[in-house]
Amino acid sequence: MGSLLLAMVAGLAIPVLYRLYRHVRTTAQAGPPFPDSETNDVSDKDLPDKARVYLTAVDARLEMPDWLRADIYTELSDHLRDSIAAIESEGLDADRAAGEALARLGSPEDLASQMRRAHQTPRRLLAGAAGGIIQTGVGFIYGLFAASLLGVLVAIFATLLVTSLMKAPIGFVAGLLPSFSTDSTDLATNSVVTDLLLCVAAAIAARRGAQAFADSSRRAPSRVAPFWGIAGAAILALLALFVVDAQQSWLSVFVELMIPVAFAAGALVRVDRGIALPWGRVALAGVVISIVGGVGFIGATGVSSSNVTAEAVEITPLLAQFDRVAPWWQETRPTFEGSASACCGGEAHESVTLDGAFLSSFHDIRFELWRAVPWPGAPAGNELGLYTVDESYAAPIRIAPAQRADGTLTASFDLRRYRSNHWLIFLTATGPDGRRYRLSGMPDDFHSSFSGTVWDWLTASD
Amino acid sequence: MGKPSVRTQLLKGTTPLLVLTVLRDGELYGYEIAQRIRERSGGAFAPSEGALYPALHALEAEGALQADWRESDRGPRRRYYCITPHGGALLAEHERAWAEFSIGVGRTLGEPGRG
Repeated sequence: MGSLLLAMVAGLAIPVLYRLYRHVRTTAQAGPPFPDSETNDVSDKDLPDKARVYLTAVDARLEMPDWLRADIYTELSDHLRDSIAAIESEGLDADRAAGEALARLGSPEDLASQMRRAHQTPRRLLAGAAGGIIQTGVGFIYGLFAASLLGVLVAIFATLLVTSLMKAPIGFVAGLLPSFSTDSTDLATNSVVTDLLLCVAAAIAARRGAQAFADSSRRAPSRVAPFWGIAGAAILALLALFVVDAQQSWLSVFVELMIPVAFAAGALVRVDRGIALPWGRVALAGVVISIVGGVGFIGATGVSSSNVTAEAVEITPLLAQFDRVAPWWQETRPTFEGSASACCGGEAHESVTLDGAFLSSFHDIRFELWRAVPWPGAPAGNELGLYTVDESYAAPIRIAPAQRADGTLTASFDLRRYRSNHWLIFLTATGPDGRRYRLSGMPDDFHSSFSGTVWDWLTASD
Repeated sequence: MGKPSVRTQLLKGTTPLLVLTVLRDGELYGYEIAQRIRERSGGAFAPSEGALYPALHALEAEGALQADWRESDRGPRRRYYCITPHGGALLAEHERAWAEFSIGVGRTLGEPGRG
């Protein structure tokens, strides 16, 4: 039933997407197409060759939108036709009449230059810039909507493919691939998806804006598009680098930096001719992406769920690894009430309750924040989420003195500016013998997401 | 390219005035406008055809003229121009300026004889 519903949604979304695409294309390319002598949209066949050469020379220098060039070409053709006929009626032969008519119009360079001055006024440039900005905004909304619909379609298709049709073969392929894992709770994944949608929206917005700018300012799209694309890309790059605050990963940073690239590409790639999408190849690419996504999804989340329980796992070797932080003061069995607000960017709050009398024999009680990695000794898939300290580091990344209230010890760590995602927090103290001990066997593990701008990420420490 | 003739130089600034004047009587297309000016001047002058179309397009951009493609009685469709209310006001302004200018030029030219 659920699959049927999803298929119905997909079936409805396809015509909506297509209509949207057609609408964006037709509204962005306002005006009649440039007359092509091949299609005979404008009849200049009756004009002498030298007149057509002249008109082509003028047209090549106009640097205006196609529809305006078409208007001017037709108007000058009409004029030459009348002028040549009138001169011929005065007794000159056709060739000399054509030469005289062209001489009266002056050089193609001068005529084109004066035409540009007449049309490409500063007022129209301002109007074009304003229109371009408005149409960029409209195109962005259209693009975001289209990309979201497309994303939903791909997700639905991939889900259907994975859950019903291809689960067995994809699972088999995924099982053969090297083990890789992603954390489905990783908030940077949301940033990647959002940034991908924004890439599509930026490309459509740039294209629509550049074409509107060209139309209103009476300039050739190929002339204004580089300015539009580079200016927009520069603004977006600045926003991405220094302003937009989001959960980050290397992938999300890469995709976020692709947004200005997509904007520039949207403005620059064949902006005056349109893009004819090969729909067959697009559909094929969609299927391939869905299959690859399906394999990735299964590979990342596992093709089977085991029944491993915490009790069944021998963790003594893991506890032994923690001794590199400090040896365990065996008598302690504290109650941990730690929490990590990963949704807010990785603020870890730790709270530990210990017997006050016991604590009186310790001093310099503190929490130590260590980088963590999945424990290699964990059962396949590490479904229990067992982590050990990262041996690449010899010391904790941060230390916070325990804030003590009765028997409760608390500390907070701001993890937003670290690229690492997994952390272990140990409670340690100096014992009666002057040595430092950890006061718990198992530390609390935390998951965090980097939160900041792209620049923050690039300049952050691991 | 040779030096522009005195007549061409004199005509240069008057093209908008001449165009607006002949269009006051009704809509015309480009070639007709040039012909009408030639006729009304008794063949004395006509605007450079190379300057005519830029002038027409500039006046249209300014809102003084409105242009429409229309099928003509004979031959292909043509671009007809007609004067707008703003064009009418502009023409009045041009006429006033020209009157003052021509009187001033006339007085200046007449001064040696008077002396």
